[in-house]
Amino acid sequence: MQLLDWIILSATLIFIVAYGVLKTKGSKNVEEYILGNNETPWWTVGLSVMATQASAITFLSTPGQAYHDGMGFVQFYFGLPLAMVVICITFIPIFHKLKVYTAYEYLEQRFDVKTRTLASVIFLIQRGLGTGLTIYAPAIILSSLLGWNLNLMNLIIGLLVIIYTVSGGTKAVNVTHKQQMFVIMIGMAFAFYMILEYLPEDLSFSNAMHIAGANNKLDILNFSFDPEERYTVWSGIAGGFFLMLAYFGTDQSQVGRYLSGRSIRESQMGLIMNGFLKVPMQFFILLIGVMVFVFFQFHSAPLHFNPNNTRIINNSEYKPDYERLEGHLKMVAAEKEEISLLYVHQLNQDYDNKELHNKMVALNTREKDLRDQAKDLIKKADKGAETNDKDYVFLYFILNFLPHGLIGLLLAVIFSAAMSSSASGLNALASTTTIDIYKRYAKGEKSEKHFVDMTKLFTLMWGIIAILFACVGTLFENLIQLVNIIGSIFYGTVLGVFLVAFFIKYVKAEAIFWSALVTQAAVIVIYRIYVYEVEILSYLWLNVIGAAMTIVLATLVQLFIGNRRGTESIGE
Amino acid sequence: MKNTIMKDNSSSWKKSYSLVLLLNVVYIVLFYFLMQIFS
Repeated sequence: MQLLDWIILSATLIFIVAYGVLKTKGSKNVEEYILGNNETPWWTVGLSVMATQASAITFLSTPGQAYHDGMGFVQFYFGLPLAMVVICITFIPIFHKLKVYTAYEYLEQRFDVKTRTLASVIFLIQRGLGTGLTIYAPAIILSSLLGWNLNLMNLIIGLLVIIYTVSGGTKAVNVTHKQQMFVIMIGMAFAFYMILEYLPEDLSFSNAMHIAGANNKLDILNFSFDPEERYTVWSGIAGGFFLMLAYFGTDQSQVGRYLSGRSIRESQMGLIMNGFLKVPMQFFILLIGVMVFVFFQFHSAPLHFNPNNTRIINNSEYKPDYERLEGHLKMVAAEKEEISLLYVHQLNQDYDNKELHNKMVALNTREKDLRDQAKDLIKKADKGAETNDKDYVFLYFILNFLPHGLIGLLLAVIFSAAMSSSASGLNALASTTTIDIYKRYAKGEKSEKHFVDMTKLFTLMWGIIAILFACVGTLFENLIQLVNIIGSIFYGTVLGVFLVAFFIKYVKAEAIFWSALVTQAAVIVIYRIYVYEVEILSYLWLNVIGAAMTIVLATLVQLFIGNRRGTESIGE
Repeated sequence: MKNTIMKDNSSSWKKSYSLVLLLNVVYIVLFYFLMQIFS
């Protein structure tokens, strides 16, 4: 990091925070603070929805995922467009018609207060954890690679978000999302351009894709029906559809974005914009990771990308073994560069040399094998060490190969993404705490100003909780997956409750409440056994199981209650 | 509360919804060809 990077990073962040505070201060009532006075145009709704979903984890982890495993992760988003359409047709008109502040408010009107409270509490638990993680995830990676203090990083990201979210509420969150998305898109486009610039002169984009394809990095679609396969077209369309339906339809951090739309039409247009752009955007981010992979065919990459783990190994008895592996990797990298250049040279003469092609693939397999051996050594040196280094790949590339100035801009991208999703999280947590818990159960008449002040206080409180959670968090297998796993455990049940509310009029309050409670407990058990321990089920299916079980159970319970009551009334 | 789902029946909106779904099918088809070309 040089002065230029610091200037670009600080100026971007200060501008976003100051703009958010100055443009939106002085909310007089709850409607203005939580719904932004329903003045948000459709494109701001669209950008805000996209910025909320795109956390820093998206930009750090996704390219790393593509670097190691290829582009199959894009399938995860195949269910999103259909989910957008369903929400536009069903959820948005109802929420707008009833003029609700939060999605859970609707559940009291449809069922009863305890179902509303149950859904709110489930949301507060999972979003509370999720928001802490959106702060923690970039902080741990940045602190590892830049040597910055982790807790200080958590504090800085958290405080920046708290400042404008407390000050301007939903309006501030929405207006800052525009700037953040602009910074993110500009930064990622520059990064992509620079990677292509740094590839060998005679390597065209098409041939770079050939190299990626030869190494299975372009295996985008997987039509396997094996439930153990995490990302397939089917799990993406079905599991992804339910997850996205639950996330965009019932998670207040997203519902709050489109509830602030000027009209039903503008809210719908915002979501449709997301449906158009999401898959290409994810494809582009994954493609950056694939191009980083191609880049490392011609440059040497470290044996392991997580510097915390290399520090562990360097202070252990396994240091000589690790250095031996590094020596092997150096030789493999040199040979790989030579073979790759030769292969490219022949590709340019329209000759796909199978021998060179196979040699290149074999060398990459050898490299992967060396990396796996390094991970085994790290595990031996420290049993508790997390050996998955996907989240560090892209930032390693940024810090070691991109020019100064661009490093600052890309760090601003990561901070912006962290702030955009955390801000929506805090805003939604505070809205739900105020509207569904505090206001619902408060006794006596209270002024509008009181509720605005309380929402601000709750925003601050959740901000502090998120920072504290971030400070005690530990790194799991893959951060982006962890966020999705947490979502999958809770979303299915809440989605089931909303689907019953919209489509099965016959089911009443008692039936849905107990069914939701039992389903939530069952989903946690299923996750623990079949996803975490036995690993025979992709976590994406938890949404489907949760939603389906809630619906079936609620229908059966209602049938039982209804029949019993019917019998009782006959008896009387 | 009357639990009525307000269906959006205007033809321009039906077109938008169909278009967004169709475009995403096109994305998937493109991905398929991309895989075939470069694998």
